[in-house]
Amino acid sequence: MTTNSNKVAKSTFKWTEERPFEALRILSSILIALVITFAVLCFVSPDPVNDFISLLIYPTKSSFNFGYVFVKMVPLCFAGLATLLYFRTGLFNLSTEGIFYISGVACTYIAINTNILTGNSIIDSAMTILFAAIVGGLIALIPGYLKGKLNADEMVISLMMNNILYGIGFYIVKTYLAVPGITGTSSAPFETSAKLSNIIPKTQVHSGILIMLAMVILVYIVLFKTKLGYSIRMTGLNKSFAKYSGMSAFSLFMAVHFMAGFLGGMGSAVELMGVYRAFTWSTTPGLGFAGALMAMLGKNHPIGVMVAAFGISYLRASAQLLANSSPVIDVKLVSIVEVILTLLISSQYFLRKWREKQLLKEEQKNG
Amino acid sequence: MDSNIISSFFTADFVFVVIRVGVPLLFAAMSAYIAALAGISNIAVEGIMIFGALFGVYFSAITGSAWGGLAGVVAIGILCALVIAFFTMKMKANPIMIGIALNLFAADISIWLLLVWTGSKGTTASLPSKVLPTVNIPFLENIPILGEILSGHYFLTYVCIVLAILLAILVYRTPLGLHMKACGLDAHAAESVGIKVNRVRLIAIILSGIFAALGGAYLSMGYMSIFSNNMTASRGWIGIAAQAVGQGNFLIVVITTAVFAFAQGIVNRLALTTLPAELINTIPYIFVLIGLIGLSINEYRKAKSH
Amino acid sequence: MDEIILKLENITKIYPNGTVANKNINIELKKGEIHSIVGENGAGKSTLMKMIFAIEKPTEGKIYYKGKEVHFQSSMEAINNGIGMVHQHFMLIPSFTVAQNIVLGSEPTNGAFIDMKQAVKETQELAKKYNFDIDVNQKVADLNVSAKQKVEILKTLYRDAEVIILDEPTAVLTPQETEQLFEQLVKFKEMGHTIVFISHKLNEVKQISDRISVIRLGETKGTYDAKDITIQQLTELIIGKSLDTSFDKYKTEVQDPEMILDVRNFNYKENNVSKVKNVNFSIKGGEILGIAGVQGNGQEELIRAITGLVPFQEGTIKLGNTEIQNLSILKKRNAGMSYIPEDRMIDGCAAEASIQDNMISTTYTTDKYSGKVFLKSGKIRDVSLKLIKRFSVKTNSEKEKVSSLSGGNIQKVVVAREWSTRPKLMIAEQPTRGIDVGSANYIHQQLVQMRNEGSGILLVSADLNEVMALSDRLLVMYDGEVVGYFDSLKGVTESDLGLYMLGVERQSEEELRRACYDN
Repeated sequence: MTTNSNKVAKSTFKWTEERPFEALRILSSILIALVITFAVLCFVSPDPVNDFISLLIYPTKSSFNFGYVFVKMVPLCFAGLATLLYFRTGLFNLSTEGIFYISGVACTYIAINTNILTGNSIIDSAMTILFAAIVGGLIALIPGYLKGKLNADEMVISLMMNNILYGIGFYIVKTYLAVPGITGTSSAPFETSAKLSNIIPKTQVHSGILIMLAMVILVYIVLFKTKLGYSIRMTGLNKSFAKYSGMSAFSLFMAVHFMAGFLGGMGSAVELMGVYRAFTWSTTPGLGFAGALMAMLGKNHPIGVMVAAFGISYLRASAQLLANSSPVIDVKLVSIVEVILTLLISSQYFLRKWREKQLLKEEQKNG
Repeated sequence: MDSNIISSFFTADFVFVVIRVGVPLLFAAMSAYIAALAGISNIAVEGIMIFGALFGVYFSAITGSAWGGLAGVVAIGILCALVIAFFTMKMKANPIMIGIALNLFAADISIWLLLVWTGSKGTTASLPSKVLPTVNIPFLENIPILGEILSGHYFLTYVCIVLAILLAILVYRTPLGLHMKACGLDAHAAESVGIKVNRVRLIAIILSGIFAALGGAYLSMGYMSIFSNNMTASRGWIGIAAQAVGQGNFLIVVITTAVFAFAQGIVNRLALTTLPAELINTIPYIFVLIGLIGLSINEYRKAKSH
Repeated sequence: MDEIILKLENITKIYPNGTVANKNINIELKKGEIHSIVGENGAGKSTLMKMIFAIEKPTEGKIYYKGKEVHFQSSMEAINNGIGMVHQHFMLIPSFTVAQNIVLGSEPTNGAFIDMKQAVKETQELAKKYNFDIDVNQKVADLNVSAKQKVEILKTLYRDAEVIILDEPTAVLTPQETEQLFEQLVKFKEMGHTIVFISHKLNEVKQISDRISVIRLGETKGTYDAKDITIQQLTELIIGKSLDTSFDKYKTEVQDPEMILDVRNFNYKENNVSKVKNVNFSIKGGEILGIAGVQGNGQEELIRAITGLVPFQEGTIKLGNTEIQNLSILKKRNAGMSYIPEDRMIDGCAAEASIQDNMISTTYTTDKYSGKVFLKSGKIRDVSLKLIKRFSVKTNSEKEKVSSLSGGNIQKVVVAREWSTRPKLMIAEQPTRGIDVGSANYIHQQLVQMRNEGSGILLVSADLNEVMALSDRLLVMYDGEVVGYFDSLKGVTESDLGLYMLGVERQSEEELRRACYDN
């Protein structure tokens, strides 16, 4: 009897096939992550059930809340896109963190400078964002050159660069961009013409999300429809195959670093011009590192990165909005979900035994 | 530049400061070193340091004893090491992703735990935490200059020095150390003479976790008496850079760390002047960057001449 | 003297994928003899040794050691029971000293510490006892190959090995070093050790062995007393007689062929060790030049240097009329070179990319497949589908990952891509290794067809049947040099070639010069 029903099912859908299995892995990771988050809440919260449910549904309670998810998602997605370009090429470069900071400083320079700005909001915001992006791209060429030419360890170098870029950026803000007489680390306020406008009433959603969508599509096109993207993918998958086929690693590394720096710089400017009134980052914003997680969770695919950024932002936004209503909910709590997802999804052997057992069973059934 | 500043680099006081700022760097470097030596890279040093710093404070507060805190620190270091070992060795996860994830997790969750424990995200100042004692060494403290330099440091400073010596002995004088090196250099060769590679690596990563956690505890239970947000300030990464420069040679790792500590000492001195603090703070990282680039140029030349 | 120390009884090894590596192997090793095991590449020698050393488990059959049936669970157990193995690829740690390498894993201790003095003393004594002239305090990285081998042998002796298995020990040695090794092996024999000597080089085998066992296609072809068998007889046993698989009947003459490839005074060194010495040959359109030889005699290095994967030191290479030795891989390819690499998974494909992506890796920059920026997806898809069809790659879709294909189909993808540029020169390195007979035959037909259409083909293969079936002209390489040249394979037998491949014979310089067309 059971064998009969199985025979029918066999031709339809199987969790052991590649794509469903990947989906199963992700779904089980999410489930485990949420269960553990709930368990942690049980330890610290006076009302864990309520806190947990609020965390899961709060963004759907109002359009403002839901809009806030999109606001949080924009910089994460940019950072994820930048990092996925590195990862796709087989590079572990984490400089997006520092690029975010220094490009933010660069765009601040334009955004507060009435001598440069025209007053036309489209020209001004485009100029501000492009300047930040180009600065980001050029700075990213430094680790690119060191990697391409000298094969230097890009990860540690990019981390040291983050600290140096932060120091330089912070110095510039304090010394040249701050309002005279005001203590603290804020720059002068951005000119309105440089800022991105709100596009959905009753929310904070700004036009940066459109730029983000455009970049997701652009990265998708570059990666899968262009010659450059093709050589990125082949080099990342098998470096010796790329060499054998006649591709040049050096120019590719330079191009990838510029593009990733460009996206990082752009993401930084979009975030600042969309959400902030002035440059107030006293530390690096942590978005660059989160980008590495987005790239990983999104399987290095631009659409995947966008989905991952949405998912993580959903929880982050929820936690941030709930921060005042519960003593134990904070945006940092979401890091539990983030770390568990990363650990499980990056584990090649996660659920592998189960899959092998299922495959074996099937084989035995089929004789 | 003020000539007083320059001359102050040649005082016993300055060397004392270099040791003071160098200890957490050395803990971090030892942590990165022992893991890399056995062929399993630990890039979560920074994150484990954060946990060490945080839980040292927490456990000392709940046990009411600095020693209780220290025991907690060691336990948390081992726990982190086991997580890394499990996911990289058993689950075949990418060690770099695991490291990035743990670092981010440590940075974020420590702030959340601060919030839960103290109600604010800044520091643990409101927790009744304990610090480990400062140690004056009898006789030595009375010797001029040498006494000024070597006596009167925090307890963990001496622990660090002792551990560094023990680590050197372990690596260079014991069978286990030889096995670790063999596992790092050629796991197949090690296996072919009956060395149990996974077990050796597990031991190495546990030691790595303990070193990093102690480095964190030094910051919050000595150097400062509280845990504060972002208090490790990339020290873990400097440790990883030092190990990269040293390439398996512990003495070079220690010397590199000393150079970084020296740079940090200069920064601490210059911070007292009117020079811009933000720029001065980048000096240690510039040192590390130069070190790494120098190493790459060297390797590049070597590869080219072959 | 006639005590049997190790006995293999009806050993059969079938791998999970169905490959039969060994079939009913029976070999007896006498205590204190030098016993050679000879056979072609892939005849099953290494699998057999792995089973003795517990790296693999036999599917059937029994192993007796010192009269008792044994089931070693790990190589450690084999080592502890007195079986030592010197691997072809040394298991040494270059930055360790000789003494450290020898004692690694069983270090003498003094309390908790390694007693390095004792280790040095023990290893020095060991070296002296066995007459090895070696400084145990030196770093292994500073040693030459023959000294490294000595360290490997000392490692087994330090662990009290009674049976020492040497896997192709002379492959890396000079004749003088080989002589020296043989003296030592004889000494070991006299001291009661049993030596298992695995080799292709028949004159050496004949010289050193007491007895010789021949393996062909996974089966034992008997054990012989070395003094009772000639090299000719051995060669026949090893190579066997093959069916006529020649492609001659499919070949057509190409009119006025142009010069395709001309290689002169080619020399290649790796870490200052000469790997390829003074190689000269040329190829015209419409012919297949085969390079035969036992693997590891310089063919691989020659090809990697010609194709540009590694830089080489000396020589000129002309493709048509252009010198290409200094060109990048891309420019060589644009000048008309194609290359089917030896290892399809390392160089030949990106396994996690789609078939379609793998089809265009060498051509995606051409106008056919891309504009200035964009790939022409439709065109790429069309051509990929055509190639899949033409080369009968078994797959459901051009979007499928290459890793999901069988070995034979992956190789077809590689061949299809390299064929698709209609190259002047096709370099085919082990083009059918490890793939099914059907795919192999299909690939052979394609190569012959390319030849008929005017391409020049350089075919490198360790499979003698393959080179003999396809080649118009043939070179034989041995020890980095060309030692034989045949301008036609009419009347040439496997055993004739075998004598060159195994280093027994060598032609004169004049005869070898004929491999070049003088223009």
